[in-house]
Amino acid sequence: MFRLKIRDIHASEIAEFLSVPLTGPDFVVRHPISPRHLQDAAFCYLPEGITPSPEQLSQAHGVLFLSVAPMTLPTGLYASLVTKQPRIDFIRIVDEFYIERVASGKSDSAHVSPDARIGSGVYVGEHVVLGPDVVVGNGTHILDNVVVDGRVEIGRNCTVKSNAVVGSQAYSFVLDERGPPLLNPHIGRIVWIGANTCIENPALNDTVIGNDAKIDDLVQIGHDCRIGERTMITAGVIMSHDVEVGDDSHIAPNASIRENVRIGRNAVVGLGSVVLSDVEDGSTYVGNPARFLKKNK
Amino acid sequence: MAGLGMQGSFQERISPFLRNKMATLNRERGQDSPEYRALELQYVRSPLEDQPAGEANLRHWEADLKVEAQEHAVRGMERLYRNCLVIEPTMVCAAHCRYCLRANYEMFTLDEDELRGIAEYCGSPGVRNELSEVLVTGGDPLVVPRRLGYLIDALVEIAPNIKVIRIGSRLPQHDPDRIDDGVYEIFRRHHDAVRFELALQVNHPVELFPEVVEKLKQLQSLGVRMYAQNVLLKGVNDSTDTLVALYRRIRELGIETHYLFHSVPMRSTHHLRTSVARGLQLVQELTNSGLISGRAKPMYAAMTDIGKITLYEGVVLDRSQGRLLLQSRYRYDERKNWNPNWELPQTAALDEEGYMRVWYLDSPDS
Repeated sequence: MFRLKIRDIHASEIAEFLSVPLTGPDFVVRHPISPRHLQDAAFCYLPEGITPSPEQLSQAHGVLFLSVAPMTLPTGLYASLVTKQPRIDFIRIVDEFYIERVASGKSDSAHVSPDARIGSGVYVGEHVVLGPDVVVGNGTHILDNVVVDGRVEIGRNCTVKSNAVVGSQAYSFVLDERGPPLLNPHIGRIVWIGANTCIENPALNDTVIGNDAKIDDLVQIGHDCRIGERTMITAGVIMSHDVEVGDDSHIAPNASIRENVRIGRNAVVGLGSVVLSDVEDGSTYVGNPARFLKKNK
Repeated sequence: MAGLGMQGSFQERISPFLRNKMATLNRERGQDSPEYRALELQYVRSPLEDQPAGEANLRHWEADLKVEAQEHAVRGMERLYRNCLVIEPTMVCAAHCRYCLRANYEMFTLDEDELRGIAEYCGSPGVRNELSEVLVTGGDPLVVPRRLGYLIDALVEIAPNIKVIRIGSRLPQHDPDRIDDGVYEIFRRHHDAVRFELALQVNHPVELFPEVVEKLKQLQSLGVRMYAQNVLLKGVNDSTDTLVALYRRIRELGIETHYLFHSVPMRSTHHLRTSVARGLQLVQELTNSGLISGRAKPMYAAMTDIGKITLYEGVVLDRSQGRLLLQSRYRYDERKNWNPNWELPQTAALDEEGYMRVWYLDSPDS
């Protein structure tokens, strides 16, 4: 469980944290914000090619920008930090300086099996059910009504949002072919699992969610799927069984993915696409059926 | 703490909390009051820093550890003593103390892989039997609580030989608001696996504002033991009355006393340094007088190029050109054993029995 906390942090402190020089004066920044809504004592990242207009700047006093290229800023309390990945560094700073992780503990209404192995610093919300073979790593937060059953391993510092079901019985009626679920869904570390998301128990191959992967709300992940590290799966994605998604990929909302499809590394699947065949590494596919659009940078 | 600005000088940084407190003290007690001066001398950049004086150091010692198995030198690790490793997860601080030992260090914050590498070193077969304690400093590790949490998770998991984790921080004094659930959580999570000690540095009783005390008590209630090491600074605490008040206050709060350091000869800090002799005089007045409890008496020590030397009778062997020759009981051959890269500094030499002696830069009192 996280809370955004307003704090006074020096721009130079942020610069030192990122180990990059601060261009401009040092001042106190208080709010992480979007570049579209500049305000006093704030910091934001600028997507490539976007620069704030002089009018926008004149309305805010004390803004720190994270950008890919050096910026020319008017005199006053404006400063910039040049980094390779402004968006990721922005999130790192918010994570480190402005987020508060709230207390650990187990609510009284949770049903946690005495055989479940729960790490330290774990938060377990109201009405959570954790089965006997579940392993939960240190510092993971499991919010209200989550059900985790079967031989599920969840890594450390993960967040599982309300009503998610991890290790639910797979939708498979060919019993002689697949048999009972014997394998473990394995959730890496620092994984985010959204509300109402279902991750099915694997049947023949382990279901693996890679480290730092982020899964949004209302996502269905079928059995035997493998999700790469740092991959983002956004709201409403439906993934059939045996889908493999490489590292650093992005699947836009409402995409549907057919079984046995392989989505490469650093790939992008567009909004509402219906993916029926493999997606190559480093490329964007869109449409129904999804077709090659472009190579990603 | 690394704070070399673009101009190559140690930039001024005063946390908003301290700035407010200083403004209040200035308004209520005046800018010449000892309380205001105590904070001003510690945090406000002085023009005296630019005056060249003596041959002071840029670093207080060189003890970086190169791990053989790794291709690159591991950042953020120093080892000067056998049983204790110094870990620096970040070089960031919320405020800059003008007399900082690490003002001239390169600035960095370690990422998770690097922190894990350090934990792996601590738990590696050769090191496991020797190392039982780590000192996590920087920088100020509490500034980056998530990284600190990651490091401690990794140490508990990979290096169970580490029984004591000391954390050196001034964040409770610099910005008590930043000591929150995220920080408490780290201590709460592992209090049964390791013993936590928080090393504070309090130089004047004024620094223990009510907000600060509240956070310290909260931390103590989580089982964190606290000790304070103090630096003798000219104009801040170089009087018996201030030191008595300081040690009494520290004792009241249940904070153990540790070292009283003679201010280290770092560049641009000459105006804050007293002489070693003045320090000895103060410590005698303080400890052999019944003014403070025996449980609150500090150890008066000098941080030399080869490590800390407590100034007992007979330690000062010689004086020459503003320097003192100090006798240590550190053995050179032993130190080479656990840190093969360590070199005898130019200021140090060996005596007949193989113990190190070191020249230490004194400061005039005028």
